Amino acid sequence: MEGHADAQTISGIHTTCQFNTKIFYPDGTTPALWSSDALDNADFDADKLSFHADGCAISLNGDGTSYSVKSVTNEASIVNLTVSQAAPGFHVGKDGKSYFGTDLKNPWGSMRHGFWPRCHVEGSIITKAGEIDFKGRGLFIHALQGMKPHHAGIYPCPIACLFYSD
Amino acid sequence: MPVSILVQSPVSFILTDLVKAAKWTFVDFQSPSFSAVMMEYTTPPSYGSTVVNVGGIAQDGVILCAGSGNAATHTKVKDDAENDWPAPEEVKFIWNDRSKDGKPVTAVLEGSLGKRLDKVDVMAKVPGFIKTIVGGVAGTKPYIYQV
Repeated sequence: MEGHADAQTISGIHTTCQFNTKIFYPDGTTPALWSSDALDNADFDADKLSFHADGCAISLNGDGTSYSVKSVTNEASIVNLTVSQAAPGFHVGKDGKSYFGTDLKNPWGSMRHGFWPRCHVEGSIITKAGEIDFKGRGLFIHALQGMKPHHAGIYPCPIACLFYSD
Repeated sequence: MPVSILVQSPVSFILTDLVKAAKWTFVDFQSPSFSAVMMEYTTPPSYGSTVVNVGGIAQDGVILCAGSGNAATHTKVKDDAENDWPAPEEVKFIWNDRSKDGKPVTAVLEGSLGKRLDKVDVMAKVPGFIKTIVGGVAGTKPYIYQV
């Protein structure tokens, strides 16, 4: 199962936010379940570590080791999961960023990735066919893309990606 | 042993020229004793067609290694009749990173991908209003192969 929330600012005026959920069924016959819904009133908490919108919240716990992901934005997939570190997180390089362009002092843009490579996952997703228990292992990635303003006016797209196996 | 390998390739995200990736490959390997993750992408020609690869390996409570010295290869591909992309059938991932105290750590994960779980036509999933703003992505028909 894979879920993520995207936020996108276009021309500094219009912000959209989308919560996506995808469930793969390893039986080889059930088609993947895909939910993608626009979010209203999306915003970050004061500490910028947690995110909320109408019917959706992704929250980091007090000591920064666990995210809870909850969403009722699509009744085909009601999400209530907790992803906790089983190993430390990491990023590559001093800040996890990759810079693009020909001049490091004036990059065209950057992308940042942070990884929690090994997580415990608990909770479930309720689908029309029943509740699926997602207890198991998982990977959590936080990806953030930053663009320079002169590149056609499309601005950062923060993305939190959660990949669960089993 | 529960394993799911998520491989995406090749794919251009929504705004091809503005998102600095023309091709991605991801692997998420989870087992009772190890977790191994890798993300490799190639920037579009306008960004120099540069290969960027980051990844790491962890066990309970510890990161064994992390870094950017890795390689993701599709050792066997098959042309996709629907879109002309070379769909991956066999893969080989090589981690070549450092541990916390600077020692080199290497690992290899290779094999056949087996039956594909999903193939995503990316542009079909893009909300309509974004497609309108972008005005079409010239010459790209991005797909995600998920196994």
